Amino acid sequence: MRVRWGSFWLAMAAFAAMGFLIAPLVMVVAISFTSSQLLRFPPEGFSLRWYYALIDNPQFIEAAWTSFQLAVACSIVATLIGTTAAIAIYRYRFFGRNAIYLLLLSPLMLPQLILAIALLIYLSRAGLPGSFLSLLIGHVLVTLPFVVRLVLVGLERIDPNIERAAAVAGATRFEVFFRVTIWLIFPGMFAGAAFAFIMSFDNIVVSLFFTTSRMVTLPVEIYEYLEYADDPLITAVSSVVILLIVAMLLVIEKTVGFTKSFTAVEHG
Amino acid sequence: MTTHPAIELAGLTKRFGDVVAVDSIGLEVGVGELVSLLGPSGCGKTTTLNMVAGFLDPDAGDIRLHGQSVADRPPHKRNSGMVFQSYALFPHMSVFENVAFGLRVRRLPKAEIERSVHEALAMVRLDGLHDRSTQQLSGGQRQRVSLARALVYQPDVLLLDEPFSNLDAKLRVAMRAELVEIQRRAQVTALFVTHDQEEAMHISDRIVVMNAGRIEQIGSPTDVYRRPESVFVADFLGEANLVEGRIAAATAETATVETADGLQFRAETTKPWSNGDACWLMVRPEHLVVCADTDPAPANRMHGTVKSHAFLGSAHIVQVEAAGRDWSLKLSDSEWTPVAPGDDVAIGWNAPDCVVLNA
Repeated sequence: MRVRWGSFWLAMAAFAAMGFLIAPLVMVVAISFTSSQLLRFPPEGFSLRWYYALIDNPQFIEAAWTSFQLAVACSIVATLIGTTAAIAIYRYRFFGRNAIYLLLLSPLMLPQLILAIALLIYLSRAGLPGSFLSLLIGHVLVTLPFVVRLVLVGLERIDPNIERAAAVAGATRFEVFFRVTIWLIFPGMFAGAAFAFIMSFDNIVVSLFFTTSRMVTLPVEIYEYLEYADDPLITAVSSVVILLIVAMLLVIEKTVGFTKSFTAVEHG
Repeated sequence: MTTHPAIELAGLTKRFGDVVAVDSIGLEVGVGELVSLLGPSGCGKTTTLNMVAGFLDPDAGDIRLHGQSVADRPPHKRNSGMVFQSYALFPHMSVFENVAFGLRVRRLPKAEIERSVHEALAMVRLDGLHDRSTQQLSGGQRQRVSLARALVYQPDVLLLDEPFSNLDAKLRVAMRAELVEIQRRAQVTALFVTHDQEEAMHISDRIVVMNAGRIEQIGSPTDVYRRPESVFVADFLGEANLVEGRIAAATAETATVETADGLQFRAETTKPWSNGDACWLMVRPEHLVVCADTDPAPANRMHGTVKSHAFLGSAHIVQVEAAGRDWSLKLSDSEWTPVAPGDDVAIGWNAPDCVVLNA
């Protein structure tokens, strides 16, 4: 009986924590349907006026498109670099291996603000001020650690005999990699790519330093809008973003199996 | 024209740091032969197999397959097949694709791949399961897929690394007979690594008993069991009653062994012994008998007390204390005359049934 009550309270605590985390999102969506001018909860009445207002403010849609392109590019580049780096670190024993591994993971430990300032100075000297490319470099830098970690976990799970079996059967190292290894680490790569996409789409600290008047990401656009206006338009933007991300996750879940990729990475 | 052995190991050595894992071993395996490397864990048997497969580079010595040195060749250029304890199937491929793998990387025409894969699956009695995912198969089926995958491209040698250790006891025994049949039919030379002496005896043409990186003895299952050449081999293969002593008298065919407490046992031997040589006497438990006083006395006979009795179904295991030590007897159920702990019995064995070993 004690055990049952224990799991009951555990479940209650879990639900409370989930409620606490989700409540702000629910509030944002609720306020977006308000008919009032004020960014205030609870919403008054019901209207779609802020969604119409959104259509009249194309800068948000443009920013969302920029953010989407950036997130896709970032997730592709980070996955390619992160996967090759993880394989090198896992497979080979070379001088400076540990140093490279720690350097790759260091963006996790350094404040993004410091990283962004350093990168701004560096890229300006290299002749790359605010641009899509400099945004991409910054985003890849902060998402790379996740890809490296997730692919490494995937590599550690592989039964080395599977690759040996392929080699004995006549596959060259190249064939072993493309016919076997890459499929075995695919869940880790996919989880890494998804992580990179979401973290890039969401990033503001690094983006703030590299956006220009013509190239603004959605989080920066929202942040700047909030500086001079406090109407519920922002909640409509947020609701659309929430809807798009949920839709994306559902599609991925149905096609590739998102939770499967993550649990495969975690449990082995 | 000379015919070369299928596998030839010459002075093969592997060190890991200060540890000599494989210490200059030599072995020849004839074409079509099934040879087991048998020994406890850490004896170097798996290291030897990994060197033959090409996963480890030898520190010294040579590996020749059909007369060709392969020591410098990567695994994919040795035309060998391998079966692993962990099955090591490709989880992202169907049964068909798993078996077809070796043919695909050999760039064979589609029709030939199709035909060969179906033949190989039929050989391991998995025809009809080619569409399955490997996750849907039982352990025994997985190991058969892995066997088909290793044989489909007609390798020069088949390497097996404890392939049945993950299977449950009954299936393991059934797979032994099946493996021998498949290996005969495929006419492939096989090198089989195991720590299970019964498995090695069941399937092998010859057994290579290894210990601490060296070969202790090479011989047919009957040879290594009946005529072990060292205490290690006697002890590792099956049960053994071992008594330490010295040679008290010796002729060309017989030897008398005297123990420290003055007991004398007679044995037949083919080795020349001199008086005073330190030695061990070995008798298998199944060669010891309980004898009534009226029986014609076996060459070696003692009185003792029964300490324990256990019935294993096909045999009875009896521990008898005699001459200051415990003797283990394995008596078949059909010849069983009941004894109970505490009984006084006479036990004995015939001179040809025991072996004298170097100390």
